[in-house]
Amino acid sequence: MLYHDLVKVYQALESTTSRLEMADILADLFRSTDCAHIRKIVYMTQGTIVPDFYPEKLGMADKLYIRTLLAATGANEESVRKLWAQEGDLGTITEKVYENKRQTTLFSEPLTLDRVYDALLKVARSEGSGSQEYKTRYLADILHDAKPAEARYIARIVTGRMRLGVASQTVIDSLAQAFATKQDKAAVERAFNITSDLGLVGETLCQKGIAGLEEMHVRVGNPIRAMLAERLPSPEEILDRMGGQAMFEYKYDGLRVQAHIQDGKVTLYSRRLEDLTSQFPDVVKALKEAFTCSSAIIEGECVPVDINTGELLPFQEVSHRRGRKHGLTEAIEDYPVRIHLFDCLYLDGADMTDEPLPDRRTALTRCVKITEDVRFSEARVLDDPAKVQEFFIEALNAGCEGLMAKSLGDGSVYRAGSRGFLWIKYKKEYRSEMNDTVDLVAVGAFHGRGRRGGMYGALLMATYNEEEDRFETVSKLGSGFDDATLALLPERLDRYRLHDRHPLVESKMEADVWFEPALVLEVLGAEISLSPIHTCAHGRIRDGAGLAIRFPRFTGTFRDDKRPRDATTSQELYDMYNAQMKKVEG
Amino acid sequence: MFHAKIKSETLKGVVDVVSTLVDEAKFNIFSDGIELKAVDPAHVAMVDMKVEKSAFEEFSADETELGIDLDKIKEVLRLSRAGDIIEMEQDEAKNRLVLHVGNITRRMNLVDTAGMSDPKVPNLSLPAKLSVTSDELQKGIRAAESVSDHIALNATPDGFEMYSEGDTDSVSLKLPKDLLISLEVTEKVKSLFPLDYFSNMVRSIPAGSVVTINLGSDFPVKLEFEIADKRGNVNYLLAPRIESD
Repeated sequence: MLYHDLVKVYQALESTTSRLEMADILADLFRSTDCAHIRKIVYMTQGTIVPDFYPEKLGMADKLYIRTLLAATGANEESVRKLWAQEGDLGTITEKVYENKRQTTLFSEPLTLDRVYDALLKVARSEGSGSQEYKTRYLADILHDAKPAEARYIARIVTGRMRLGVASQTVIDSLAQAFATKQDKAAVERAFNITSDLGLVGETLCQKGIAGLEEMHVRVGNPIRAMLAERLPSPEEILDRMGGQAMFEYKYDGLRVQAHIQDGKVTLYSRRLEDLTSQFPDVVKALKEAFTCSSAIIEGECVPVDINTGELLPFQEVSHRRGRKHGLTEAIEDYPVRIHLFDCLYLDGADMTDEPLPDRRTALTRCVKITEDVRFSEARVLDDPAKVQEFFIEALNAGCEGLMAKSLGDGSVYRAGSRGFLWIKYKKEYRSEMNDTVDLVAVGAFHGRGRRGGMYGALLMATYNEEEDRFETVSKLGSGFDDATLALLPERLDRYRLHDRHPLVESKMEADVWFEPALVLEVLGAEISLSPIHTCAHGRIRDGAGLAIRFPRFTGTFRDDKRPRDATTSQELYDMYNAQMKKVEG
Repeated sequence: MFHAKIKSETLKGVVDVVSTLVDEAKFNIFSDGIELKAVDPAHVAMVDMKVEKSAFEEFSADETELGIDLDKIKEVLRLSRAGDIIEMEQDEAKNRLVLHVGNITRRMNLVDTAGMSDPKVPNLSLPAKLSVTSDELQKGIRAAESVSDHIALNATPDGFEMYSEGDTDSVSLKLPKDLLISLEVTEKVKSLFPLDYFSNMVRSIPAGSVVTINLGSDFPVKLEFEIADKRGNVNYLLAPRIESD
């Protein structure tokens, strides 16, 4: 199959916003495709090359991509940089570079799907020292032979921004349409939810038809897509919905983990199905010790524990570990983690996902013995709203986010990959209450991408450190701007534009554009957390970390009445962080 | 195994011809000499070079491949004077190349050749063939440089022309048949090339050389010439530009 044929389908997909039409287009493609190509097409159409739980990730850095583009096409660097500032979308830039290309090459072979796929896989697999060189080489090899439209999509997929707007659900619909009937959609969806591998589902359908799906089972090593909860605001409504009674359990503020255990080997997957095993060797070890059966898939929440007080710590303490390759041993010592198990989806050869919750809980207690680091979730069966409220406060005081209510009826199966009222969360956003807005200074900006191409996409915001007369970064602000405000930002900011970072600005981030600290914006944040990349109150709470405002939003008010040194100070934010960390009152 | 001695100016000629297009290259070593094929990162130009054993002062080798960072060889060349003899030796155990010049010994790591396959030389049948001195080519390039970033090479049964046209100006160097060393052209041919590539390639041709140009219409150009006192020969290929509308 030629890559060009797939690109034609991409163009058709992008010319419509109708999900039904997209499914039709994809179904036509699947019907006319050799089964051997279905997997690759399914992955690539969703902007990846392997299922999410595989280690290979695309997402080449923009700068490395541009360097490769320049080398492979011989395009003029300055004109490409100019385009980059104007357009902000690498796909569009690449297509333009190819359209303006007058220089021919000495060799040219048409790109096949297999060749593009293999090159992308090699790019994703290049790691470690010298890997940039190899990534460049593999990517250049396909860029040499690409036509303008092909190059556009290569640029998008290799940088991890395919954005065709094709959801898994659309692919599921189209696979059902192509290889069975629309009524078989549920079976296709079920196969996806228990394997998390839509490419495999597509290939099986193509080869064996709908009957082939019945041979697909829950299997250790294939993560199951997580069951999700709905949300209701009060114990009364929850009990109402649950038929008067439910199991309530602590909703831990941690990292949800699915553990696959077989023959003494433990693999951990995140809720987004990434393999976390190497980041949590302590959890792996603890589970090995606590597990008493031969194979299982169990779910739990990893929570960091304060070694001195034994109390649970907020989630961001776990996030120190994520993606970490160096200093892991120190991270484990500093932030030990406990896992609270709450479900069992597979046990010793038996698929448990269709069993009701009480049976799954029983299975869980049968195959795990409690240890220091492996516990069950704190749970109670309740039918009285007042008791629920009491339990809720208990949960908050224990450092949890709130409660999960879970149905106990005959129909209380594990609904992989879907959100429903079998599980309902009850939580209070106490941590998101940053009690006041803050006034932050714009010290830099980043070029916009996508819809914001050619404008500023986000501003680098800072607090003021009075003691040292410095501006310390605290947030990247991108939301809360309406189109008109966004369009006027350059007018407000460009007069303060600098060639380089202002000497009073402390930043670990490299902004695309720097400003003299001048403009003050009113910002509402969701919470304050520790951050290795921001410099606000750096090192005061923990070495190597500053404070960051998470989920910041511009309120729409420019504080033109304030000078930059009147902005919220780093000390104020430090005080707010400490106040936030105190326990909520019962 | 590879062990050789070579005059520094001869080695410089070899390195110049290759480093015009690539920073690193794979040299194929045989018992009777060395060969190299390399293509630039944008796949626009290619060098195909052979140097005989007799171009070296001493040469003994088994068939092998050496991946060499050309900048490092240039650093050694800068330490030498014309007439110096450079001794080269492969250290197989440590995967290094060792160079001696005078009392200096430079050891350099070899580049991994695993990802460097030999490019296939495109099979071209180019209808026009002519020979000219490299000095005439240099003159044509100097004339073109101030006018445009590309250059057209035209050949007719009557002669050869290098022509450049910019936004406002144009320049042409015409060499009628009697100023050429040879000319075998039956009908008019014309191709357009990027001047930066063409100029760098021509600049690496030893002064006073005879260059044979093979040309077609909207086809790559092939430049053939000799190096290392006629004990080596080089083919350059350069892909054309498409004329803008």
